[in-house]
Amino acid sequence: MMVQTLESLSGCVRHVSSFEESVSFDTIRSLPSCILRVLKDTFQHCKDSEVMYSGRLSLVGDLLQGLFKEAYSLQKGLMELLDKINLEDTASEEEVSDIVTVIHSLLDICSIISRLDIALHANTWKFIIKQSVKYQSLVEDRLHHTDIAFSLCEDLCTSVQNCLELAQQIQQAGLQEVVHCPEYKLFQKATKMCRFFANTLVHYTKEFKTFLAKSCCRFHQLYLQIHSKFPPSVCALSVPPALSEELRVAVLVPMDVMLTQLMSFQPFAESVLDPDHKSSTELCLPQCLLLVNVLGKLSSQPEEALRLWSDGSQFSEETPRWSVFEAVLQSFRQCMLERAVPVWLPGVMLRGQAQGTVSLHQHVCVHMCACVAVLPAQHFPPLERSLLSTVLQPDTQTAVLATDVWCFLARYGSAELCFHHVLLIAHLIRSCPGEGYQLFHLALLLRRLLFLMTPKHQVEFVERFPPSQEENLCVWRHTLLRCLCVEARMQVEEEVLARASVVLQEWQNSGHRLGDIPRLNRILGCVLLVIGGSSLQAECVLSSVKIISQLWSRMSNNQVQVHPPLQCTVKLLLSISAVLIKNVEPHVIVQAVSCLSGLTMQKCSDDLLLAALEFLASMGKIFFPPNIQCQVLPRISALFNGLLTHTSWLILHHVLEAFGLFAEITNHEEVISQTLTSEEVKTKVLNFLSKTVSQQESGEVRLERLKEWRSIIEKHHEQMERENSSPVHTPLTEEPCPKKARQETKAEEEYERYLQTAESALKALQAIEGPGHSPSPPEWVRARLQALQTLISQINTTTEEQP
Amino acid sequence: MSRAHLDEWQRRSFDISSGSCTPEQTADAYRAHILSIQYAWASAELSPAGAASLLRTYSERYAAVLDSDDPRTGLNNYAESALHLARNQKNHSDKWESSLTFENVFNLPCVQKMMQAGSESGTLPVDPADVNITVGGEHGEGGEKGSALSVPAELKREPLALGSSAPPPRAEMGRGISNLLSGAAEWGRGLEGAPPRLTIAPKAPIGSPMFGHNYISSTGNASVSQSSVSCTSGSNVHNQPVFFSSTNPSKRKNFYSSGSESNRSSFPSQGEREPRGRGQRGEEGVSANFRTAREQFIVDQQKKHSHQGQRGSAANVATITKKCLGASRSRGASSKFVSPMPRQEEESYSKDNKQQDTQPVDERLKNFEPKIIELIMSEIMDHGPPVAWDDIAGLEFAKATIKEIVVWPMLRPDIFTGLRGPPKGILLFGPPGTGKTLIGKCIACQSGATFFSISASSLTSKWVGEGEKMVRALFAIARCHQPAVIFIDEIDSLLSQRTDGEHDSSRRIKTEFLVQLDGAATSAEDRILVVGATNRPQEIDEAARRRLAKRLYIPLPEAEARRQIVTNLMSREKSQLGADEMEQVVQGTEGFSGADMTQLCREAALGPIRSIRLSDIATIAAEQVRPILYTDFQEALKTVRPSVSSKDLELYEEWNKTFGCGR
Repeated sequence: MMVQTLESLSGCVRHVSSFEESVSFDTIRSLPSCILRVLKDTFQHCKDSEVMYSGRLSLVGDLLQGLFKEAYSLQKGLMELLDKINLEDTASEEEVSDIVTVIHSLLDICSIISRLDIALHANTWKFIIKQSVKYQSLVEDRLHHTDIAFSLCEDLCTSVQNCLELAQQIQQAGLQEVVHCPEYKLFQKATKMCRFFANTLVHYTKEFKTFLAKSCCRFHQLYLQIHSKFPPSVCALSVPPALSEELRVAVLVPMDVMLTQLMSFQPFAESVLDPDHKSSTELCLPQCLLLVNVLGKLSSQPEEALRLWSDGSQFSEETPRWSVFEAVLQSFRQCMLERAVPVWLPGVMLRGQAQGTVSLHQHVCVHMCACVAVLPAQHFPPLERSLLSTVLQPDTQTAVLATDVWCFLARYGSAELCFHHVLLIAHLIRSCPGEGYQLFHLALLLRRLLFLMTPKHQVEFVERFPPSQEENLCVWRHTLLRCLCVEARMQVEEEVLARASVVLQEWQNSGHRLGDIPRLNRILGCVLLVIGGSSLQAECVLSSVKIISQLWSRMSNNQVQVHPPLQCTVKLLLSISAVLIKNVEPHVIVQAVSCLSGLTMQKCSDDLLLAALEFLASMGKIFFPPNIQCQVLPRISALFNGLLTHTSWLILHHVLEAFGLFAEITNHEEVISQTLTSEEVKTKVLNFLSKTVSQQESGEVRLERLKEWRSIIEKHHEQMERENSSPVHTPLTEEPCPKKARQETKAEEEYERYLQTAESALKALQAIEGPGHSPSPPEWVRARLQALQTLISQINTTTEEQP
Repeated sequence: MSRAHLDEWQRRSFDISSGSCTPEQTADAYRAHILSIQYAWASAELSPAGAASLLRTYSERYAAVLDSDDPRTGLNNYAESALHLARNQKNHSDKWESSLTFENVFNLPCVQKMMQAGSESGTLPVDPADVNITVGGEHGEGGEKGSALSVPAELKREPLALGSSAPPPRAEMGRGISNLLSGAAEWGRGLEGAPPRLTIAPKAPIGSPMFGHNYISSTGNASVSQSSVSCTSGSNVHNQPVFFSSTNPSKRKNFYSSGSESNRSSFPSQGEREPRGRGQRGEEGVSANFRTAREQFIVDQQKKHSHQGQRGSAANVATITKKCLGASRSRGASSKFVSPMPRQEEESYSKDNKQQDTQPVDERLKNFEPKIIELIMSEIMDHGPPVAWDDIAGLEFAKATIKEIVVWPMLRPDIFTGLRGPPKGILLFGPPGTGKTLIGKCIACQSGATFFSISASSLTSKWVGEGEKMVRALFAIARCHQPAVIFIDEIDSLLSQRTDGEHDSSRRIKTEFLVQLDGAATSAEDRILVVGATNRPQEIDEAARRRLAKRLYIPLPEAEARRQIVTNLMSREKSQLGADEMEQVVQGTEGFSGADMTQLCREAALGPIRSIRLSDIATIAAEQVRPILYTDFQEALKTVRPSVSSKDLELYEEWNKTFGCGR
């Protein structure tokens, strides 16, 4: 067979050489197809030789080499021959189809020789593209563009991977003089190939863009894949920076050009902005960067492209797509790991200063703001909607990003726009049921936008949402008084405090009932806001102090421990007292401290703890009169002592911080020494004060931890979103569902879940035990089963007894 | 596991509190905090309420960094970078119109989702059975309790009563719609009303109409240039566009009328009303480009002693110009933690200045090796107790002169211009131990300047070329910290006469020094004062003598000053020294320097100890040691001799007559 092949080959070669002078394609019509078939088989044979001959490869090695050389020169000759031929525009149907066949069979050969010979591979590709472009008008609607595009992408991907592996080897070899080692030569060659493929791809997409609708997905994928192999991607291989840079120039620059070309192409935009597009975790960052890149290019694009990207799908019959703004924010949300690590990106070069690196957040934020700054008015609505929907999703960091962009927008746009947004958000807050993450994010946005409003609008805002009305309290509770101008602030202060005294009076008149406590809490939240504002007039302080003194006297620890609404009251009282600590009378402090020390701190909700910490820290500022010292000081140190052993790391940090603040300014040093009784606590505090942080964990361990972290947070977010979408109540139904009933359903769920697990496990056991499987189960199985049986009967009896 | 979380959190919070972070780093750290809190929440280490409270705290601090325009502490919403990217393009922001209304916003899927969230996670509902429990039982009246137990009818009514306290949501929706209508009307009116309102802004230069900035500023950035003239010198306005929205007339108005009364009414600066200097950040955030020495002084004073520095601030703030919308008021820390936090900030502030620049943030310092900068930064003397003029005994003439030529110009550079401009250098000479260093320190303290204390030896290095670099770096850093006082002790060793035989490197240091002090490299605006101290004035190079224009003789303390020294030192000890005995001591110490006086008092203070028998020294109680008596001084006078000879003194007198600026 070998001989036959060789002979036929040489015959062909001779043929070719004898037809050297011919110019008409028609005369050699049959030649290319048969040569190409033979060539394809030959190359395939060479490629498979290792497997085919296995042990005897060394015997035929020389022959194979000769064969390959022959085939090589044959293909070269053929390509040269075809190069010379010129087809007219009026070429016959057969000629055109022949050319198409030639191109397609060369494509097949390409995929075979891709690993055999670099030069031939490149030359073949060059030939394919050249021929396609040469006869573009004839063949463009007959070529299998998808195949060509896919295999180009494939080849580019493999060669980039190849390059990076080489670079990694160089890195691992730890060579000092990289430039002179043979690996580096190899690397350079491979880089050249990468550059070639990338440029070919650009060339090709430019010529045949209209036929590539189906390949756009693949192009998108390719862009992401390539970028995921380079830093700052977390999964990028570690390679010498110089080599990485070289490769980056060779590949990423053409990729960028390709992106620019494809931007105005609708299928590509649809692929990138597909709402259902779920990229794997390592492609999240590239997707985000791709979108940011698009944002940067948008302003230089024609109006049509801008509309394509920014508006999202308008009609239901269109392929659904996001607005680019929403897509950026969503993809940022996906990059949880990259934000946690964090990855660094090149910053914007300013005033000739050296380029710094910035965090992903800053990178996205800056580019988004830049895009917002040049946004034409007709594309404003999609931006606005994207921002709002991002604020209302569960990931806080992403919501913060949207808020940052919104603030930029507020400062850049007209004051009226800002005012309108503030009104809208306040309205949303007012009608938002419950206290989910949505409310929190809206409040964050409201605070920042209030700050950016003009004083006139601030006053108007106060008039529009007067704090004297009960329903507006939920809005004011989330604001910061410092954001407002004096006029507005005064009004809010007055109204809130007046309202507070009224509510308190009513509560007292109706006999201090627990049922009214939530109402009291709402107004107390606003009192906290008022005294949290910067400058307080004396009368404000006085009336607030009066209010909290009256309330503290009603708080007793055993009631607080049992009733959650009272805990909320105590929390607010603590926060308020912390601010007013210098004006609070000693006997009230004694009441507060004794109430606090009566609570079992470890069982309290952690927001109460945090408020207690504020209060404790603030007590460093005052000097206790001698007559109450013995009542207060031991309790403070006992409280601190208990808290310093808190198990949650986050709370513990805040305990340390509060204790540090207290210790720094207090006049009662004895409290400190009494608190630090145990050696362990003492080292904790000392370490904190001297700002020692223990050894840093290694990069890999940290990465693993952060990955785990990501999955936990994502699961949590999903759960929160799911809770939302399951419509437990429509917002208009009255009356929250009483707490006890809900607990029961929860218990039922639990029963259901455990029973299901048990059932499925037992069934599986039965399946193994069944007749088809291993005949004799080990002895201990029976014993264990019996134990299970007794357990079940035990459970049965206890459940029977209970009701 | 949790150890790692705590470590990361603490590392970040230490970084933030160290104050050595750039605003970018601070913002990143806060964002990382937010992510950590979310993790703690997701992994059930934190309750939703706790997470909400912490997130609020940290997001507020984050917002304070992000929305502030102070280049040192704020990021100005990344405006600089963003507008740089968007340069040379058209700005359409004036035509932006919100498409959201109170009505259609509820049709958005995200809002609908929120509305469905239900009130389950909402405010803690009171268990209906507990509604009538009297809070604070021991104080409660018995009757109330009875009713809670007996009357079930009331229980039934209760939910209704609760409901009426909060209005039914349906009504709220209705109001929303009416709000919408009025909102739309408002909107229209706002648009109409806008152009006339511009004219209200009295000082607005005509030619920057609200909608006109597209063609006015070809760069398309928010047009700024005309308006910043009022507060900056206007020289570099075009390079550094100030960021604020130009479409908002009242934002502008506020800007133009900086410092006038309308500023106060329309824009409350936090610092104005802040009782405890919480608004410092706001004050410091005022103008990036220029700050009068007085402002700088106040700010520095506040940094140094946060409890004393407020006196001047309230009056002063009105003169500070505000640059852009909103951001001129910094919001500081969160409202919740407000009471403890500012204090901490203030305290960390004094450290800030040292550390902030260890990394060369300033581009002027970019060309220097970080090591050199670090070395010099460590020489900054911001610490140590502040020194007041009264702490220096005697030397009334020297003090008066220094106040006149150094301190006042630093406080009021606007008056001390032209010929009244301060000298670039002064030389304090006189016998050793007479308080020259103390005076240098006092100058820095009282003028609110950054104080660099450099000994000549730290500038001279065995490495050739290192010394000049140090000198250059020193002055560059001082320029970044204006006003600055560079105090050089034993300046004679640095600026001795240039002779033929001397080493090349030391000569180069001298040359560099002279050039930096007053040469091509320095500009007239620099507010750097070099204070040299020496006890060998005659050895100073004549070129250096010329540059150290004011040469003040710091003589030995006179009788009155010596008395003050002794009284001062003895006031801290147990002593019984009569008035006439004191007079004796003062008389007997003619020719003593301040240091000699201190030595004498030390010696005298040892007297009582010497009278104790050796066997008793281990057991004697501290109170039993007898007070210091005149006899102790007499004994001490026998051993302590003046360290300055009369011949030396003549030399100083002579030199003072020739070159000094004193009487």
